[in-house]
Amino acid sequence: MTQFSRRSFLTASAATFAGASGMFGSLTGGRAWAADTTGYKAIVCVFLKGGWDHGDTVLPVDTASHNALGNIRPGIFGAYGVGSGTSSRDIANLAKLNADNAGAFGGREFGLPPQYAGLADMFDGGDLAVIGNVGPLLEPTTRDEFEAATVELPPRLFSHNDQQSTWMSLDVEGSRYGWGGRFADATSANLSPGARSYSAIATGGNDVFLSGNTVQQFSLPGSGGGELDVIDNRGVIGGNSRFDPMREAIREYYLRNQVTSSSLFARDIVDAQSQGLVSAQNYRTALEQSIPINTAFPPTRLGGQLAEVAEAMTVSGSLGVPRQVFYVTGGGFDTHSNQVADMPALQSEINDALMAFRSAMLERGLWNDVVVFTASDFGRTTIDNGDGTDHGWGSHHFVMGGEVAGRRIYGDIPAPDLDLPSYTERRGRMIPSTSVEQYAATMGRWFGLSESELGSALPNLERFPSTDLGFMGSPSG
Amino acid sequence: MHQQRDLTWKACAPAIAALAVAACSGGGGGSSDPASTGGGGGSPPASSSPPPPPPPPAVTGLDSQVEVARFVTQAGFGATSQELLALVGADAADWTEAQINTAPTLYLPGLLQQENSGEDIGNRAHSPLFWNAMMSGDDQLRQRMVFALSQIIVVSDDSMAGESLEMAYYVDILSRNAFGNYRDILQEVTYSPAMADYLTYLRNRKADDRTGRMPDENYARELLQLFTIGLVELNMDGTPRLNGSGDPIETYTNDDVEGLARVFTGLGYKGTSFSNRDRDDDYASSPLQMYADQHSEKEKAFLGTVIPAGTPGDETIDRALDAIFEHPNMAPFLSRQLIQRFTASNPSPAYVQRVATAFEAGSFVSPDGSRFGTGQRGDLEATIAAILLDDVVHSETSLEDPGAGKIREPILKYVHWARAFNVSNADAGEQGRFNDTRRTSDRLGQHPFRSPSVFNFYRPGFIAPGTESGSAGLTAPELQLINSGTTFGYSNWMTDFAFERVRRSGVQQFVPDYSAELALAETPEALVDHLDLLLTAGTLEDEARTDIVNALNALVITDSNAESDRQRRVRAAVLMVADSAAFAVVR
Repeated sequence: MTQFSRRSFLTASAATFAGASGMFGSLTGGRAWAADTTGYKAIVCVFLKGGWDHGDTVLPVDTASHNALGNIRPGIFGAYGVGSGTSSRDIANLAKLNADNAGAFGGREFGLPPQYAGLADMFDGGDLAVIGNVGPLLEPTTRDEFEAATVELPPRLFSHNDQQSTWMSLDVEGSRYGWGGRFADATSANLSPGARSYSAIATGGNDVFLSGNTVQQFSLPGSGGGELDVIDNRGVIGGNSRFDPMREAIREYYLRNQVTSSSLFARDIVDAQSQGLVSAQNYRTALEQSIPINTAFPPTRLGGQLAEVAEAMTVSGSLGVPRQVFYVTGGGFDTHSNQVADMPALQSEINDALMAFRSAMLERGLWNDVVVFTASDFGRTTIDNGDGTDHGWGSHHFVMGGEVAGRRIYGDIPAPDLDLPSYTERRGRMIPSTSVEQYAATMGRWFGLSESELGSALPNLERFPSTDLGFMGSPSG
Repeated sequence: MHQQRDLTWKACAPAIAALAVAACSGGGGGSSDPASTGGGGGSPPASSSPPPPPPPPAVTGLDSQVEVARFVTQAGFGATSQELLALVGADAADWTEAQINTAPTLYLPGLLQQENSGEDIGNRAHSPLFWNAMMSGDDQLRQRMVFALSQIIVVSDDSMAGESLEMAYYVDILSRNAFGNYRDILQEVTYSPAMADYLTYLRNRKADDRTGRMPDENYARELLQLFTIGLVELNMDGTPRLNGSGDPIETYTNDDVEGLARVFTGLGYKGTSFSNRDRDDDYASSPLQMYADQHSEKEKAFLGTVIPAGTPGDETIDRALDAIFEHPNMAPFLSRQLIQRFTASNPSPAYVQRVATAFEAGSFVSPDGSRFGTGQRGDLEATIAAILLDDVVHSETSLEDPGAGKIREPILKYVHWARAFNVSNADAGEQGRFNDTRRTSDRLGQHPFRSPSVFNFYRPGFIAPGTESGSAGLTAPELQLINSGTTFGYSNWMTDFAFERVRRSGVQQFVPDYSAELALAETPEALVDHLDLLLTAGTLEDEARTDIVNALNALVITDSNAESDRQRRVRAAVLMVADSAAFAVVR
């Protein structure tokens, strides 16, 4: 926590300087200190648990680089049958990314697996950007500094839970604030507690990403959820109205939010129960009065979650919340083994769910108001272990939305040459060249956060030369 | 393996203080390794320390029904009305010892029998078995221990569809060794098809220097991080050791993981070759087999241990597990997590140290003089006894400590209901819902042996954001399961059971015996008192009591509907108590 306050101070100084020099021009005009919450905007985090293999996500499509990657991971390429002409990873079958900045990579070209064909189209259409080699960093880090341990490093690299937590909260497991929650803190400062409770929405478990100071995540009740059978289903106690007083008294019991127990755990349980009940029932009421989305979502785990997110966005107006951060998760990316059997299906699931989400957003005129980004524990080793890959560090990610400055690759896509300083010395783990905080800040600024709010949500941001990667169309700062 | 209580020891322990400890323990049950020096790990001999203080009086006596209720909720799945009466006056050590000596409910034999008789045992045939064992097994402490161990040395069947026998074999390892030695669990689980499948070292091959292929690191990493020593060096009391600049010291580096990954190469199913094609019919219920030509012949260096090049595969694994098991973190790392599964989310360092000391010594002497364990380091009988028979578990002061105790997970709460009301016609195999209880809208949001990942349902260090316990810096692992979505699931699941709405082909199942409660339905205060004893060990919060009594009184019993109205009151009262904070928190 001391880091936060120290950082706030530094950021405040920086923002003052920026304001004086006019560096941010009209973009920051009139909102230097408080978040801009005009209109509606949403950030959607798609967290892919397990550590997704960037090397099987953005592949080289120029022959030299493709061959080089094949030499580094013969097990994976072999299992895919690369060279057969029919392999999904053969150059001819990869979906080439026609980037506006294609010339920046010295003749190297990139593509996505065919399972991501929709996303590749979205890229070419200008609504999707690739962020190369992003990952947790405390300060810019080179291989020499890493090997010599002369640089401050995020603790517990390569450990699933800690790196998930670090991506979400910039600290290892046990940390209490995620940057999604801190963003929502900033944008919900002037809301009523009721509206604020819908500022940060998850479709599942209690991860730290959406935890702020004042904001806690609301967990969507899911389809068929949000009803308390003992009260809402009259069949349980009995249909006769003479049971209504008992039903009402039971409702009172569930809504109780005060308890004199000396146990903090007991108080927390009562609180979670009553708050959950109130938020879920108000949410259901809003939903019942809304117009359903026509777009069909694929019946997958991710598809179902993004359908719920889209649905929630349609009632943001009636719930009175102008900025929302959403959090959905995918699983199964820890591909130590059987990667070739498992990965393509996971990729199709992501592609199809995100394409449906985009359609739903277009249907409701929300596509320009939303940015969707991917995140994951870490990337994976470039060298394979036969039929899979092991834990890495930096990874490539996708950002999409109507206002995303797409058709570009931001940051670095290191060439498949393990002698390059982009990799750790063994097994080819990428050392991130862009930090999670730079990635987050770029979206946070678009979301409306002031520079000081960004600084307090992202404690190490100012240690990096640029706090804006430019993919939200804002100038590189 | 459990030594029968030594009456000589018991007789002298309370009476004679420090000097008697050595004398009595030396004569206690023939163990060659008395607990006095804390077992092996380089600690100075006891003779240089001042004599230990006299043992405290036996606080583990279960003097009232409330104490029985509380203890059996901590150690087991909660007591029935009959047990409440029967155990008053006993010592908690008696119950613990009797439970340890109860024959285990094993899964594999039954499944194999089903399979051999030509029955299709299906994808997840093991799930109902575990539910049934929890709901009706006599070995409830062992079942709790199995469930606890399954949350530490995790195999989740989520990704193991069709491998019921592998799962049953794995669970039986935990069951057979629940009061055995953790080193044996490490050994057997390492060689279990389920773990090898789950953490992807099944058919893990040695490195290929020509192609650059490296061994899979998955098991090496999680074995260290989750199953044995954890990420940072610990003191015996479970607190992190700090370096000169006040930072925790990481226990291993990536180099250690890469070195250890070579150890777990060459294991395949039992069969005639490394290939899955050539596995034997009983592969799923047999230990893995080492295939020498696939095992790395290179030197394996990790955690300061070097296993020379060319060491045979099985011997390599043996030596590696020995080395990891000998790590000073082993005792506090496992002890603290086991405590969290039974009695406290935030055990004091002193409590952790007492339990870790029992793990190290392999023996534990309870306040009433009962002796547990074989004297071998890693003994889980001694460890669980130290957890359950500690002063802090039995002292009244913990009721005033705002951070005392722990939250119970939905599975434990549901099973408590089933046992407390002695449910009949209750075969989990006949209710499809027991095949997957994870759904959050109307089920428990949790299923045994089906956590989302090897990191279990929740993390031991989870601090719940936006909560009072979180602001106080308390960890609350089970709170990770509770949110606005999941509270409905548990409530609705319990509503179905408490209101007797569980049917199959029109026949009522999971029928609770509410006879004692129905007799109290006309007097709501007495009914709530009774449920407060049976389900919440006298800790039901005042507001809940008032609200529940009000809700029952809100239904005026009419003559023409007297019986069904009494039923409604009882069912509503049971549900509301089962949804109280007191039922969720055990302390």
